[in-house]
Amino acid sequence: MNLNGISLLFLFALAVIVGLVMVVGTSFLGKWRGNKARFIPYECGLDPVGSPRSRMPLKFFLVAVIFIIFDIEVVFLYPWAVVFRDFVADGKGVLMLVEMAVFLGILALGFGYLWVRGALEWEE
Amino acid sequence: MNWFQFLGLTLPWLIVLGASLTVLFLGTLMKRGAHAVSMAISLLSLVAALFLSWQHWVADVTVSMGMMSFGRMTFLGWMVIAIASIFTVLLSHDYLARRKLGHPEYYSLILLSTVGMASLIAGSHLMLIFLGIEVMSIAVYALAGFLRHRLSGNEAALKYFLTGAFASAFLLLGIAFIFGTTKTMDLTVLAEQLPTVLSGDMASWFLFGVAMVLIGFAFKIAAVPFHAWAPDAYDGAPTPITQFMATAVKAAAFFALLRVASPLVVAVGPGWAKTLWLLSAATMIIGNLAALMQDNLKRMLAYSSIAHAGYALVAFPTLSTQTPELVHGVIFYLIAYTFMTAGSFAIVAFAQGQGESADVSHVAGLAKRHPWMAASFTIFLLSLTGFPPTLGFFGKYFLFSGAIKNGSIGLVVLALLSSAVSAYYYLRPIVVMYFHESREGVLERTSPATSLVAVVTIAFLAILYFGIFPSDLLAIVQRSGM
Repeated sequence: MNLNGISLLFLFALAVIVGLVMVVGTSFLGKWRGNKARFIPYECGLDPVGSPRSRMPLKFFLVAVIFIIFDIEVVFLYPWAVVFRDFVADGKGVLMLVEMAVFLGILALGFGYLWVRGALEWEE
Repeated sequence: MNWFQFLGLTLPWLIVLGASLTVLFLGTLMKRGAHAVSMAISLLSLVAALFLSWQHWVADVTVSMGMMSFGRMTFLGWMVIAIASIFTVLLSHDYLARRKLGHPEYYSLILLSTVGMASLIAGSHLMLIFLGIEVMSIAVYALAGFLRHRLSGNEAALKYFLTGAFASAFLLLGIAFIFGTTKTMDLTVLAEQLPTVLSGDMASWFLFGVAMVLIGFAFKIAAVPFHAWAPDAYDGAPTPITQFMATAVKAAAFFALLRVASPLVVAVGPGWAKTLWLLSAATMIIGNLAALMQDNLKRMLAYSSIAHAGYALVAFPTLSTQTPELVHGVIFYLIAYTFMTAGSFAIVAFAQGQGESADVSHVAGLAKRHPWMAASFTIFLLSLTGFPPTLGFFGKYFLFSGAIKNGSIGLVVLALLSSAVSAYYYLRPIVVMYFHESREGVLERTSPATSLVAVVTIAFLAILYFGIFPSDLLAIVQRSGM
């Protein structure tokens, strides 16, 4: 299985290239607005040094939970995509497609529920 | 694999799944009347599931498809959980309306949990059984904490969730070990391979896996020493959900345990029979002794449900494919237990009124104000104790006579002694109902809701009818095969 090794290498190279392009590209394309917040580690808006009892909006957790929906979706999609060709060769392509459609449909319903319930509305 | 037949066989639960999603969206989109509509849809879908399961039972199809195997026993299990869930939905409406908690998510979660139970009962593959347990439990974790402004509601949900997740990890680890040593998770294939595996050099790893699976199940049926979560979770959860946990969840777990036990746990050898013997004895004795000390009706019923799990476990040490009478005894007992426990919780929910406390003093004077409710509660409690001519008596009778035939006399003696102890705590609410004066304002003068009366009436009639003519119910159970 030499091909697997090469594709893994290719993925690695691609990751390095994408990372480099993003970092180098932004320094050329973007405008540099320096301020204090830019120099703290992990620019996610949270001060890394402070009281451990600080309060945090619950909305962050909601976002984390919503993220899981898509995360799980991708986790299942990858192995499915890898073995899909074998199933087509085996004559079970339609079955696999329908099963994935059912899975995605259920996830989409969950997402639709979140939408209807207003979980995506950030401002109250 | 014939997909149309498969969809036809699982249709009852596809309807329930569809209803669950409909309730979720419709209830959220509707501005008014969402509660009544959610309840009506849930109820209709469960009645449809009950009816279709009954039709399947009558048609008597026996077929294995993929990870599921269908047969009369499966359909009987489906009927039991459908009935238990119908009771829960009926109880919920009034309970939630009084507390202004009629959210569509509540009904949706009940229906989803029932779908999980259905696949748990039909599963003949350890992975599907695990998945069924998870779908069933995760919905109930959320439901247990539905009274989220109440401290003990949060406590209940958290305790149930943490211990339940821990138990699931045990179960999954056990399944992994079984798969690692046998290269299969299908129960029928496992049963065939068992002699080879047990004589091979992987035997001890396999036994370790079986032990882990047994622990996982013992958590779900709340067998001692894995019962500690039950009283707190039962007490803090909304009363209809307590009823759901005590009847539907427990019945589904037992149906699955019956299916797993005979190829796995029991066939392994006498060492496992001893383990199950100890599990059963400890569960009966500790459940009954702890129930003696309870003033809170919900906690009392929680320990009583632990004790009843112990009685049902009496059949397991000698269970095998050659002992249909033991399987039938357990199933009959589960059905009896479902009716009497559901009825008891209906009365508790009524006695609670607007409040959350379930102290035994709430039923004081019930006999004067609501004589029929008091009479029904008396029948339920007598049935739980095992007095004739109630269903509970015949449940114990068939279960214990089957166990004696197969030689577990010591265990049956223990069961009889501990159920004699149970008379004390079951009779106490009866004394309080008939001979104690009600405290001022404790019991409301309001008449019970129609849906609540329906639950009490159905349970009452079932217990008395099958208590007088137990052969009717026994015939249904016996014709269900293994």
